Amino acid sequence: MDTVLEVRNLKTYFYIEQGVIRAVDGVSFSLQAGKTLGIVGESGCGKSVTSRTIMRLLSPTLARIVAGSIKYYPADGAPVELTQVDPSGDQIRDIRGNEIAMIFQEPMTSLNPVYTIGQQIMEAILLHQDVSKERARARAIDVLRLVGIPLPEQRVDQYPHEFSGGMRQRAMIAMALSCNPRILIADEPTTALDVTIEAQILELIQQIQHDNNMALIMITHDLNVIGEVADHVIVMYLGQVVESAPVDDIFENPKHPYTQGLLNSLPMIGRGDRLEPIIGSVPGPHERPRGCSFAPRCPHVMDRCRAEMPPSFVLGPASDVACWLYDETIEVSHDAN
Amino acid sequence: MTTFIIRRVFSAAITLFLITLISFIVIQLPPGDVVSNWVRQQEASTGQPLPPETIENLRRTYGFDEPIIIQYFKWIDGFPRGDFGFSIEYSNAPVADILAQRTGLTVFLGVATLFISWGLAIPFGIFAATRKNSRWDYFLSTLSFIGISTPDFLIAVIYLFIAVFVLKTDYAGGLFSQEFKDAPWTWERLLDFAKHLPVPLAILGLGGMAGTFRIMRANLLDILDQQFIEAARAKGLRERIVIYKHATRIAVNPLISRVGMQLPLLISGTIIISIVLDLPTLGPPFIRALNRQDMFLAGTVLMILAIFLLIGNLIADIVLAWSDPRIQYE
Ligand SMILES: Nc1ncnc2c1ncn2[C@@H]1O[C@H](COP(=O)(O)OP(=O)(O)OP(=O)(O)O)[C@@H](O)[C@H]1O
Ligand code: SF4
Ligand SMILES: [Mg+2]
Repeated sequence: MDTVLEVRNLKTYFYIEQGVIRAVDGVSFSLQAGKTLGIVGESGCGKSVTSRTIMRLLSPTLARIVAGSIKYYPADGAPVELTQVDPSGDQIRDIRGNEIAMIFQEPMTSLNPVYTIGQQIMEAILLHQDVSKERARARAIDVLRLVGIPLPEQRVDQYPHEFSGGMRQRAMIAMALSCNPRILIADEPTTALDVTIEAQILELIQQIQHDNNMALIMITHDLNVIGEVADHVIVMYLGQVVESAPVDDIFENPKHPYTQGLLNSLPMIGRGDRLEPIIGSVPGPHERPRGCSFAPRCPHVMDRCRAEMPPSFVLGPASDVACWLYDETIEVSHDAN
Repeated sequence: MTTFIIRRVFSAAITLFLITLISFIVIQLPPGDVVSNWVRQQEASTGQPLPPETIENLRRTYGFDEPIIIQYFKWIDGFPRGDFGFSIEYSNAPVADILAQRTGLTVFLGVATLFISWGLAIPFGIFAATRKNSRWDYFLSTLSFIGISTPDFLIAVIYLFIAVFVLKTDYAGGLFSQEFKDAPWTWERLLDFAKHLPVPLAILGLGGMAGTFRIMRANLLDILDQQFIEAARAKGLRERIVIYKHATRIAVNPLISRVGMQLPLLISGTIIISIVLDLPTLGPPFIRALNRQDMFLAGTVLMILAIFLLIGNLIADIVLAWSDPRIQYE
């Protein structure tokens, strides 16, 4: 299959006055054209930092990539090692918005209030494509129509405050799609929207993905969204991937106690009254346990868990889990680079 | 837009009327009036008490024996003719003559000061905000902190000292040389004016800079934290474009709305600097008139300041409405 992005053992740490925050602490996944990777985990587990690291949007004075690799495979030409590019250089700016686009959680604040929707979409088009202003405007109207905005010829000249939340997120999607990116990173694109709008937006993203054979990274803390769109899922906890598996396995046969906990806390039709939230809460960034980071909340915790960090155990061609319960299987060497 | 402006001008006119009325009354509230002040001065210089009939006569000729409200209407009655009363303090000279040139110079200095302080404070604010917590940022922030906590007159004295003794300019205060002080405008006078201008302009401009710098820096830091800035970067835009086109463009809006408040402040707030530097602005006669309850003069200056305030706010509102599409002309 066409791999477009390959992330290996990525570690991004924040160096702040109070110490080091290991926001992303060993994340690996690969992404294929036309497929959707879901990243799920509770608030603060490092989902957004992962996506911002890929885009190289984090200020080098604040966050450092301390280990790992991010390989982007362009349609033609040699793979680009994104951890090595200058975060303010031409190379990454040619990729941003053009080959890898991103939409954000807060549609109300993701658009600049003093420029029209059209100006903001055209800005991206004119930046990455060698077209005239008229063509860029026509394209902006086209993408607005594509994302289901009524009367796009008029809406194109309106300001963000004249759009509702759902319409703004559509406009954001239109902006992200305006240059036909090969990868779309959606960081909780529907969290701020109500349920009916959420369903519409997810459907829209999937349809566009299908039409353009675009790879999608869907970041969310909502397993329902994952079930809706993802092909493959990684479950994150405290900056680490605790389980990586095809979406069906995640729902039907979750391996990691944390994944099981997430599923059990999910209200689902027909499951009756066995709603069990995970006990405890995510520890703060400075109080990370020594062994398995989930140990303080894990119902299956063993002595070993508190002493040693579990490596990733390979359970199948596309499944691994970082939990000592699966120790019988072959242990994959923990990338150390 | 036009109805918006018309409505604003109309309400401004009413405000103006109220301001002049209140200030006219307030100036005369304390015991005594301009005549008794003048009489005391005369008696002190001649050593002879003035006969009471003379004082009464004075009061009557000036109309001070009438109720304040009548005096007020008599006063404003002259406005359409350009008659703003007279000043006893300035040997009965018409207020219009005393203030005409000073008003022009005050506006000129105020606007020039604004451009200088903005022209410096905005770039420095951007510089500091985009280098948050760097050594340069700390340096500029400390400097601006010293700037806002030092009294204006002290800054003026320090700058004057630097200008004269360190930079060795031959500036000796004022805006004109002695021979041009009350001369009509000629090429020579203009040249003389231009020669005098740099030092007071620098002093006034730098004095107002610290506050503007701090506001600009704080605004920009606020904006740079917003999601749409990251979204702009995620589009692949150059950092320069993100900073100027997307962030600074919004960060200056609060400065625009501040101009409305600042314009009269620039004028009244520089009274002390004007006295230190002997600048022919509205400040010195205003202080003198207030001290002596010379109410036509003081009232007129107050009215001019109020007009500045209203015009400043009106301009600020119009510019802001144009600059920020979220603002409606309601
Ligand atoms: N600018 C920053 N400075 C310091 N720490 C940060 C910064 N941004 C994120 N972090 C830390 O990195 C960790 C991961 O944050 P991240 O935003 O990736 O979480 P998330 O999984 O996206 O959560 P959410 O669901 O709330 O969006 C958190 O512990 C957070 O405190
Ligand atoms: S390693 Fe131990 S503590 Fe961690 S999830 Fe597995 S069983 Fe629970
Ligand atoms: Mg997040």
